[in-house]
Formats: sequence, structure tokens, C-alpha cells
Amino acid sequence: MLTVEHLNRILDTVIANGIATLEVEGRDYRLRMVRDPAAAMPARVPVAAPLTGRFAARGGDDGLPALAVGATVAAGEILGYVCLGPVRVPVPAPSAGRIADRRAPDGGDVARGAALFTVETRP
Amino acid sequence: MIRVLAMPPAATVQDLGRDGHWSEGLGRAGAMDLVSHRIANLLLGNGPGAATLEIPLTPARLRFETRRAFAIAGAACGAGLAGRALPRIHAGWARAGDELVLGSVSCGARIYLALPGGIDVPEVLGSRSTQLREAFGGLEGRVLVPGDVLRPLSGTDPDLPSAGLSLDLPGFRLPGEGGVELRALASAEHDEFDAPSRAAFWSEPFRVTRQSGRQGYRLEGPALARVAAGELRSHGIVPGIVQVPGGGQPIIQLADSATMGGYPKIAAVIEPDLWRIAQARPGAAVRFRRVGPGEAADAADELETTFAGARTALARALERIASPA
Repeated sequence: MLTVEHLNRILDTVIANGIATLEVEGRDYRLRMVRDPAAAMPARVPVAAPLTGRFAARGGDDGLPALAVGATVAAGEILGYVCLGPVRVPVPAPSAGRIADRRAPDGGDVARGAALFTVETRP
Repeated sequence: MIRVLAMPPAATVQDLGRDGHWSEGLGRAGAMDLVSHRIANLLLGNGPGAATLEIPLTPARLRFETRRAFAIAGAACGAGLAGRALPRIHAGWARAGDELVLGSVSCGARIYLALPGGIDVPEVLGSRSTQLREAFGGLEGRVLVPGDVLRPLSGTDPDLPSAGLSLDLPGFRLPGEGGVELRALASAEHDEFDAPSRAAFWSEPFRVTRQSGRQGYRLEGPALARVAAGELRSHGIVPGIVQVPGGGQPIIQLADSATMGGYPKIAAVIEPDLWRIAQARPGAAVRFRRVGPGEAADAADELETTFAGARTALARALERIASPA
């Protein structure tokens, strides 16, 4: 069985590489993806660290659910934090979409402007 | 100003409490969880004594009539502003017409709402806390009801980034599934309990029962038996005192505790740990760990050091946000 996560990964690869047609066959499934040349491409919006600090993922003691790659987010939704000591500066989603990837490890140092996430928005 | 649209009948305006009237039979009142109360104030640049709204039951809904800064801290309750999810500790902006919604509590028990300068209610006997039993202080000495209006004392808002701010104090995270550990001193009648009861008290878990509120928490656990017979004369008690009535099940007196009591006292929970019990819900496990006066004093110092550090870190963070290079 193909999981949603697998599908999203395949979709990311197809979009990132500009593949027009893709056929995948497994033991119990067959998948065929064809890009409609007339359809607009989803935009990939990078989310940058607003300042230099330590990245903290969402979820845990902040009371918010953890954020997985592939999750759908609303515009302005908190994706994570850049921390200066105990102070957490929220990093909001710039637009509604899907989390295509997460670049910063939890607890890792990030420089201002460094890409933390990519949000894929569908037109 | 903020209008209360929906509020279960238990929310009260509280500050650090009304000290100094014990001898007149007037208890302290004040926020049950002084740590969350202080965090909410700190994030807005308020002093620790600014009045906040203590919300022990949800769901609750409030509407901002004007654009203002606000802060929440305490229980995780799926809080949202204008449909956007907020972390359990948050300071930020509400636009005119935005609704703040507090949903079902998933961890912790009480939420504190702070406004710039504190909530504007009259100061009575040196405090803005609601004295529920005596029906004064806070907002007309009563719990909030839908239709009530809360006004911030300050006409100006603090500097906050547009996405808001949160805070994470590792020593003051909400207790998880493992339950709550409370540090406590042995109290006056501690040695009158038999040895198995004393051993059980300091090692066995007790459960928070539904008979728990601002006045105190009734616990359920191993029965504690006192060897000494006879009733005690009435004596002064304070928040944190652990009494053991005839049934052998302990009661922790809290913010709205009476000033006098007559039950034997086995222990006193140290003040810096009272916030932990305030965030424990019915069914939660509570354990007592015996400490001496030295460790109790150290814990109080540690709390103040943590808040002083957080205040400095907040000032530095706001500077960095203003000029991120």
C-alpha cells in the first residue's frame, strides 16, 4: 500500500524535477501521474528564520500539536520558534499550503534568513 | 476593552493576593498558579502584581473591541485567536473584533489572561484579587459572567513583534502523565502520625479528587492515622498546609484557604510548588517530597532568579527583533 507520506514524497519529486508523466507499479498498486500542462504550478515558498537563534519545533510543552512534513497549514499558523534563551519568537506560515520540507533540526542553531521550512501553496 | 461572550462561572480577577489581613480573619486570595500569572504579566512588561483573569474552566470566549496587546499562560486549552491556534504561553496582538477562544483543556487546569498594565478593577485593601467568600475585590467581588467587560489599566501597549512571543522556562513546564511532585516541610503534628502513615505520606502517590478548588484540594490515597488522641485547639493556617481530618485523607489548603483550622497538620507544601498543584486536575497523581527550610528558601530564590533571567532575556530579545542584524 502507498501511504499518504509516500505519495507526498513522490509528488515533491515530480514537482521538483519537472516530470511530466510518472508511472509507478508496486505489488498491490499502480500509480500514474500526468501533469496537465495548462495547470498552474504550485508555488514553493521558503520560510526564513526572522532572526538568529536556536530553532525549536512546534509541539510538546507549547500545547500545539507537532508539525509533520506533509501537514496542511493555514496562513499565519505557527510552524515553530526561533529561541533566544527562554524567549520564543514564533515563525508563522507566510501563506496557506502544505509543509513540503523542514530544514532545521529541533534545537539547532539557525542564522537570520536561513530557510526553516518550505510551504507549498496550490494556486 | 474586552467583552466576555462565554465563560463558565468560575473565572475571577486575581493578583499576588491580599496579604497582611490574616489577623482580621481575611485570607490571602490571589492567583492559584502564581508562575503562570507572572509569566503572562512578564510578557506584556507588566509588574508581577498586575491583575490577571484566572480561568479554571473552559470553553470561554472573549471579544476584543479595540486592537490591543494581551497575553495568556497556563493550561494547554487549544487557545485560538480569530481562528489561529496559539501556544499555551503567548503574548501578541488582537485586532478589533477578534475573538479569543479557550477550548478543552488537554494539560494543566488554569489559564491566565493578562492585559497591558493589568486588568482595571479597583484596589481594595492593597490588592485587586477577588475575595470570593467575602464578596469583594476583583470585578464586584464575584466570578465573571457573559456580558462583563474587562479594561486594561494602561492606555498604551508594549512593544511586541507582529507574530507575538512565547516563553519556555524548562523548570516550570506543565507536569505530564507522571503526575506532580510537591516539596513539603513537616508540619506541627507530623510526628503524631504513626510510622507507617508517615512513610506512606512521603512515598505513596495520592490522587486529586473532584472536591478541589481555590479553597483547597482534597486528596485520596493511603489512610493516614494519628496516634495522639484528642482534638486540637483552633489555630492559624496558611495556603500550602496539608491537613488530615478524621477520615485520614489529606487536604491541601490553597489560595482561598480559611485563616483558622482545627485539623492536625502533617506537612506544608512550599510556596514555590503551589502552582504545580494549581495546574493538577482531578485524577492526577501527587507525591510529596520532604525538604527542610533551607531547600524551601533555595526554591524561592530559584524562582526569583528564573524570573529575573527571563525578564533580561525578554528585553534582549525585543532589542534583537527591533534590529535583527
